[in-house]
Amino acid sequence: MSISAEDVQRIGELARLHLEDDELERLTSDLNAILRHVDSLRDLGSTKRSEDSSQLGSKLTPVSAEHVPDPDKLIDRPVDFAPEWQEGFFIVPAPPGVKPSGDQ
Amino acid sequence: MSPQVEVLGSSEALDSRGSALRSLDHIKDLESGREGLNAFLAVAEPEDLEPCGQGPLTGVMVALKDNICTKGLPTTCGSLMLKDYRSPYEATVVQRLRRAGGLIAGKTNLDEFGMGSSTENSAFGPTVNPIDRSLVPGGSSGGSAAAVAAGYVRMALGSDTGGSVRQPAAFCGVVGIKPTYGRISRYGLIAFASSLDQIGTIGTTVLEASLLLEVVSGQDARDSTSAEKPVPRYRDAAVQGIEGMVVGIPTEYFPEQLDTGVRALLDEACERLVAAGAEVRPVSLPHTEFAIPCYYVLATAEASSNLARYDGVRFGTRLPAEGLDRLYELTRGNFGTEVKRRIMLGTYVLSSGYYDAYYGTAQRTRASIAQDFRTAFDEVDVLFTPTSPTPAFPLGERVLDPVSMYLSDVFTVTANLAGIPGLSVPIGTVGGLPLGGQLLGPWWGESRIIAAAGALEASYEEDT
Repeated sequence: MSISAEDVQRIGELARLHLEDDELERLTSDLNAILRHVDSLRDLGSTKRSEDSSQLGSKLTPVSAEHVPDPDKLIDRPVDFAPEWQEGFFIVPAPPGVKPSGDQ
Repeated sequence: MSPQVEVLGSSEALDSRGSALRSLDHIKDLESGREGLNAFLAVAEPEDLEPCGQGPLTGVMVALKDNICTKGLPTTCGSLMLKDYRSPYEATVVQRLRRAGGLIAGKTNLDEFGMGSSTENSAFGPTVNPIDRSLVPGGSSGGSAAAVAAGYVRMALGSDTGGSVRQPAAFCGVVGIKPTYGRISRYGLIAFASSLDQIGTIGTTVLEASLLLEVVSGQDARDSTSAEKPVPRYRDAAVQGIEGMVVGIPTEYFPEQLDTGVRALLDEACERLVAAGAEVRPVSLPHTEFAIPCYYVLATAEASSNLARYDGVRFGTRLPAEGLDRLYELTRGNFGTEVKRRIMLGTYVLSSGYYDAYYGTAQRTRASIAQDFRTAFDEVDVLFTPTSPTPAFPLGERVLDPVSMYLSDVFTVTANLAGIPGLSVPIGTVGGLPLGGQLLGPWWGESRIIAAAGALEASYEEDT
């Protein structure tokens, strides 16, 4: 998987790092070199050995170059499993031995 | 109890305050001269030499890696970001050291925020190896290892996120121990990758590194990841012997490309373990080859989150700017190249759409690596491997090639990923440079690896 200078610029914005042109060029090259090495993790998803040696190995997800949108599951109010909701927080029962904050 | 332990525990034989003061002057003289190693970023002042109690370290000078918070002395993490930082509190390990009678000699150089394998990434210049000044001392606890190897201090504390105590100990010819995750409180250790970080000890001998481990270990209410487990007398383990111990040799740690001189020393060390009463047998850790990519995904992901706090508002040397966004950007320009590189990589692997492909896969790989060790320790008591594929390399050789630098940790990162204890002990020299052998033990098995290292050390001492 390779990333472009535009990708690196965008990552810099997310990380709140201002990158000069020479830094951008160097980081693009460095990150691509590192990602080529890191991409070997995808081998785990397909090798027989990993299936033999560990149950977890057979469940590994191969690295994909495709950007698959995966919206946060909490983007909508999760009424099914958290019916009580106040100011953006779930209302949950107090743990045993702890008084609810309203009683303090 | 061995004669050495009696020496360390006997108040008559220990450094008095007067000799401690002379030691500080000696360190200052050496470090400020042409022969200085740049091992220390700050040397203690006489008023800093106040112990809080008496114990097994009474009068013993100990150096601290400069990512461990101290009151009085600065805590810079080797970064311009914290160049003026004075911690308002003291790390738990510092309190335990002082309660045991130890004296803080100063703060040692490191790769910025612990990110590096050579101590060349410090904002305050590289530390050089006391054995050969043209070589790196290893990293990121290179200042601590160099200070012990040079004889400035007898013991030092470092931190080990992927081998940062064991690899510099190997490069400088001293002993380094990274205990089980949770053995030592991380309260007051400035975070790099919280699920991997662990404070470790460095000493000139197995006994000294073990004694320091014994002093600083134990549960701490201020670190919820510290374990409620009794601390054994590690100093006794160093001399208990290894009769009947089963030592596993993982085939994946002895690749064909391993230098023949390095392999010869490792083979000799195995023969010495057998001569000391151990049984040696091959084992397999099949996910080892994925450890480095797994480590660099997880460590950078955690680093990108941990280092978000350095924004000039919460922490960090604030640079004047108009507007909050510009303030953040300018302030975070204080980070050095390697730290920026890792924050960028960590931000990328956590970003939407790539999270499961990288971070999720790496987490599952981590579980597989831990399972490999669990299986191996059903058959053997400890594992023996090289600490690093090579001895110390020249300054500047790998600083422009991050992948090459990362691969120098190939044999050490697995212990951090699994959370097991590891120890590096000198096993001779190759081309005149010290080489380290690594002993890995099961969770909470520090005593076993200390015993094996003590037996190896004793075997080499018999030759001299």
